[in-house]
Order: sequence, then structure tokens, then C-alpha cells
Amino acid sequence: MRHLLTTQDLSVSEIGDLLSLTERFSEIQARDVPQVPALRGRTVVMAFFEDSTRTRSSFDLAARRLSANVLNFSAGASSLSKGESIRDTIETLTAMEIDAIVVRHSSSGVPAQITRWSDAAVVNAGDGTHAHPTQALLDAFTISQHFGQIDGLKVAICGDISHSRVARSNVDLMTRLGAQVTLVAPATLMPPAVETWPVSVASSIDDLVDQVDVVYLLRVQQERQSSSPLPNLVEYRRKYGLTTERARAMKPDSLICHPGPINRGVEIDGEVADDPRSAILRQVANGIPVRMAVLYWLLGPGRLDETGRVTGLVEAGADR
Amino acid sequence: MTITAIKGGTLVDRDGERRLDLLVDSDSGEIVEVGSGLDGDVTLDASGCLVSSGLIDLHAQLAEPGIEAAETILESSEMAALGGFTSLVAEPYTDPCLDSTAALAEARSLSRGASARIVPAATTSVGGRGEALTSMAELVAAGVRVFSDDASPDSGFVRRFMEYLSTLAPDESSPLVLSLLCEDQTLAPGWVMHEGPTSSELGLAGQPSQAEETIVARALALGCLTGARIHIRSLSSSAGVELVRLAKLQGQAVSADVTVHHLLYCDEDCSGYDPRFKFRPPLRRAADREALRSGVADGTIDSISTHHQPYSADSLDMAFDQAPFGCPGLTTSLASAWTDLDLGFARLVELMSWAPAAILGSHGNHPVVIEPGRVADLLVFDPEIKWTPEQRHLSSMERQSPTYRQTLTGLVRHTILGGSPTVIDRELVS
Repeated sequence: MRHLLTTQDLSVSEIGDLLSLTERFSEIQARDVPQVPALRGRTVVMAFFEDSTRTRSSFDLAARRLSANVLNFSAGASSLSKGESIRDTIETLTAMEIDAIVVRHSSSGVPAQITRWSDAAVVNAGDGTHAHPTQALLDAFTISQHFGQIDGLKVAICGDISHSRVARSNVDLMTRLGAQVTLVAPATLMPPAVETWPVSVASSIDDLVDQVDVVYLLRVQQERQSSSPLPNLVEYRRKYGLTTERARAMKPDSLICHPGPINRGVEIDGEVADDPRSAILRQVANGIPVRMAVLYWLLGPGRLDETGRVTGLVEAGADR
Repeated sequence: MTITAIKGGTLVDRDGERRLDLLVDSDSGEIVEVGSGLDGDVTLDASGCLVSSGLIDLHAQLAEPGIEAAETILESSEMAALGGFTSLVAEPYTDPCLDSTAALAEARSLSRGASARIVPAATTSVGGRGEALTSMAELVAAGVRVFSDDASPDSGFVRRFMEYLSTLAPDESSPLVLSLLCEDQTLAPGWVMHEGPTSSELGLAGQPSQAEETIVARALALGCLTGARIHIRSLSSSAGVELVRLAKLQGQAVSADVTVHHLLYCDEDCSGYDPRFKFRPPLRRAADREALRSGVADGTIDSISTHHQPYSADSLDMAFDQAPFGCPGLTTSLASAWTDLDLGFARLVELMSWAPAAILGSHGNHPVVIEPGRVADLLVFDPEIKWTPEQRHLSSMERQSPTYRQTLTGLVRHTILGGSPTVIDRELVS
């Protein structure tokens, strides 16, 4: 049984397959009836222990567009509290003959633990500060849509790297696809042992902003405790934020990305979010075909035929 | 009065090894004779086995009073006996904690009939809050000899209890043990494992070794200032070992222990997010593990303890960062150490029995030399038998131990407490 827990579960050629599948599902999205029967009869559970409208909706729509049955489970509704046995919940769900569990949890490692308690396919929709593989896939898809490929691109990832599952997944995926990645953040927001990561590190965005192909911004929040790693957000914006001035210095064909939700005026100026080089809305749109590709790859025939069409679809003409 | 004969085993003690029988008396609680061809009312077969003094655990957390767990004090003592322990020091962090003679009386009453000697430890501070001294003189008068401190943050307080205690020891043969867990809890609040490349990759909050290093340094410095004799429990870092080594070289009165887990595992073992590898202090790098082993080899670290934590098996079914720290260790620490540490039996018994006895000051009585007149707290160990804790299924709590499915070599065959067996042929005596 395969799972998608981290981007490391995918070989480079499997990543290529998923991106091709995404392309096909993108085309299907553009039709009048953006629906295919590929996963008809399968049941996909959305086990979101941590709240998320954007990611949950994206997975939910992806599953429904593949004609799967979707069961929504949310932590609030089930009175599951911290420290309760996740295993009990998962075993209850598994008893209902489900095919896949899409999990989001605020604790790192829970999706991996869930694979021990269930024989359904597990898709990680974000676990703690550890991994968010479908985000990295949709980012890779968006970037390669624009540039044609990822190999050789220079990417700067800026923000709270230490607490970012998006950063961890993107670093793995992008470096394996051949990009040169630089992390930009104050030392208090860098992960421990970052020198063991396959990246460069910079303490200022100014040195790179005119040379990179992609500026990937992460949300930065002011913590209320006195133990905050940042003095204040004004200082953050001044030194690390993608301000209008810095955006002006970026190459004309470069891309601005953000996993959302954005904090206008902190890591990105309001104007810059609306800049033509901003791919933020495209990222959101691409989330659905990417997640369709992942679910199809895990639960369906998961292949493209020789002419590049998605195989195993029941209705004649369904994939033309 | 029952005389039990332990026949056919190889006695292992400070004087060496020899094939001899021994007789123990359940009334006097002592060894009465050591020789050949001895017979008693009851015979315990020790052929093929090693016979030594019973193990002494310098710190085990018991669950009564007040901590929700699947194990009573009596049950913990049974686990201890099955693991070859005849004594264990009970950590005072129960609910309420052991910080008064009333709590001491309660603990003693709950320990009545236990299958091992439960040595009570009291907290250094009222409520374990690290502010006000407990009534140490009163506790000492009531028989407490071990005071435990868990990472009290205030240096002034630490100095005060060291000074206060140093004048209270009743006499040389009955020293007071000041047992310290050295951790700076302000450095990395919310940590769940060691901070390093593994924690970074796993997305788990980590604590760097400096949290131990700085407080070990503080404990040693204040120990110097006050002249207190201190015991540092559960070392986890090479820096901690270095500091203790240097202090000993300079003649400071300090002892230290380490758990079996820290000698066997490291932070990389957390990679599958298995809460069985979640410990306090955390498992650190492989290099720290090597330094701990070297510390044991050169005597910087005096003893191995279990740091037993009783938790219900449910903790395995939680997220790693939510799961409690620690695991049960009483039944498996000896076998685990024997299987994986490559130490001779005499050396292992020194680490788990003779050295703790010396630290607690029960040296005179404890059978570090197996001879008539010594307390008959003994262990008969079969060094070859293979078993897995899962097979034995001693309690549901054992699932929490990293060794649960491991094939271990070596199992306690009999345990004798004060001349009466608590374990015969690997089973508890009811």
C-alpha cells in the first residue's frame, strides 16, 4: 500500500508522472463538466484534526471531481482532544471500509503513525512543522508551468523556515528537481542544523532579489509571548519582506509565490501580492488538479497511456 | 524460619567468581552459610546461573499516590523483582509529592508487602516548586536518606538546599544523597526530543545539549561552593560527562548515573515518530551515546539506573509530541544491558548493584561480598536464555518499552529479598 507522507516518498520519475497527470487533470478542469468517474465507488476520508478551509476544500473537490465518496471528519465535531487516542478514531473510520485518509494534524508524524493503524492509503495534508507534500507538488507544477522546468532555477524561500512544513517539502522537492535553493530568514527563524540541508542560507533578501527566478514567501506571524523570535513585524518587513522596492528589483519574468494565507504588509506588501508576477492565485487553482493526480495515482489505475491520456476512465470520450 | 539453599550457581562478587552454594535465612534476612554441598528447607536450583547481590535502582518513578497509571506500588515492586531488583529509590514526584512526613507515612503504608525494598526519596522543595526548603531535618529523622531535585531553576535555592543538607547527615555510614536532574527548562520550552539534524528533519521541537551542560556546570560549581556531595542522575550528553569527569579528577564528591536507554539508543531512533523513544532527558546524538559509554567505561559514570516511568499503553497511540516521556524499565533493564552493552556480568552488577549500594551508604550490609552476615538480597541470573518481553506479557505497560519485541538474552531466574524468594523460576512468588 502506497502513501504520500512526504515528498521523499516519491522518486524523481514519480514526481514527473504526477506532474504529467496534473497537466491532464488541469485540462479536464477546464471543461463544462469537470468530472471523471475514475474513483467511482471509492471512499476518501478527510481527517482534518487541524482546521483548514483552503486545503480541505481543495482535497474535497479533487476527490469529488474523481467521483469518489467523501467523508468529512473534523476534530471539533468529534470532541477529540489533545492526548486522546488517535488510533481509536482511525480504527473506527477504517472499520467503515475506506480507501484513503487525507490527514492534517498539528503534530508532526501523525500521518506516519496512522499508516500503522489502518490499511487505507494515507495522504499527508500537512503534519505539524514536518511536511506538506501536495503543497510542494502544486508549487512545482505552478513554477514549471511558467518556466518550462525546475532544473537550474534559482529559488529563494523566505520567512519562518523553522516552523514551516511547506519549506521542508519544497526544499526536498525543488532541490531534487535541480533547483538551487537559498533560505532567507533571521537566525532565530532558521531550523536547527540547517547546515545539513541541501541549501544555501542568506541573512538578507537584498543580495538575491535581483538574481532569483522565484521568490517563495512564507507567512510570518507575531507571537504574543515575550519569547518571540522576532522583535516585531515592522522590523521583519524592513529586512526580509518583499516590499514594493524589492519587487521592482526582481527580474521581469520571475515569479512570486506564497502558500497562503498572506499577511499583507508583513512578508509581502499588498501591491506586490497583486503584481503580475505573483502566482499566488494560480497556486490555489493548481491545488485541485494536483490533488486529483495524487488521489488517482494512489487509488486508481494511476497511469497515462502512450498518447498521454489518463487511463482507466469508464466513459467513452471522457478524457478527450 | 526457613532456610533456603541456592545451589549450583556461580557466585559473582567483589572477590571474584566461584562455584559455591549458599544458605539464606528468612527470619534473620541474612546469608548464613557459603560453601559446597549445602542443603536447606527449600532448594533453588541455580545451575548454569550467576548469583550476585540484588540490583538497586537509584531512581524509579512509581505511580502512587495520585498519578493515573496502570501500576500500583506493589505491582511496580513485582516488576522490579522480576527484573532482579531488590531495592529501588522511589522518586518523590507523585501527586501529592513526597515533601512531608505525612506523605512519607502514606508512601510507606502503600509500600507495605512490596516485593522489593522501596527507598523513599523526598523533594528538596515544598511541592517540588523550587522555592521553599522541605523540612529536611524532620524527614531525615523519619528515615529519609535521599533528596531529589528536578531542575529547580533558582540558583539561590539550589545553593540553600545543598548547604542545609550538608549539616544534616546523621553519620558517615548513613550518608544523605542529593540527587539532581540537571536541566535548564527555560532554554527550549516545549521540547520533545534532542535538537539536531533529526529533530530539524522530523519537524519536532528540540532541546540542545546545552540545557544539560549549563546546569551540570552550575550543580558542580555550587557543590564546590557548599561542599555538598551530589549525585547527578540520568546524564545524556558528552558535555555533561566531560564536566563530571573533570570534577572527579579535581577530587569533588560527585557521582552520576545513566539509563540503559541512553546507552543504547540515540536521536535517530525517533525517526519513525515512535513515542517509545521519547525520554527526559532526550536521547541525543550517536556521539553523545559514545561519550556516555566511555563515561561508564572509565568510571566517570558510577551506575546504571532504570528511570522507570509507569504509563498506560495508550501513550503509544498518541502523537509523538503529545505522548508522555519515558518508559517502564524495571523488568528489562538488566537483560537489555546484558544483551547489548558487551559488559561482563561482574561489571554490570557493579554498575547496577554495588555502586548504587555505595552511593546510598548501604554498602556495609549489601552482599557486595557474598558472605555470612550480609543481607540476603540476591539475584540468580540465567545468562543464556532468550526471551522477548512481548512473549512474557508481564503487563500491558510493557508495550511502551523500546525492547518490547526485541529478543533479549539473559533472564532473572530467582530473586531473593531479605532471605525470602520474591521470584522463583522466573515467576513471582504469590
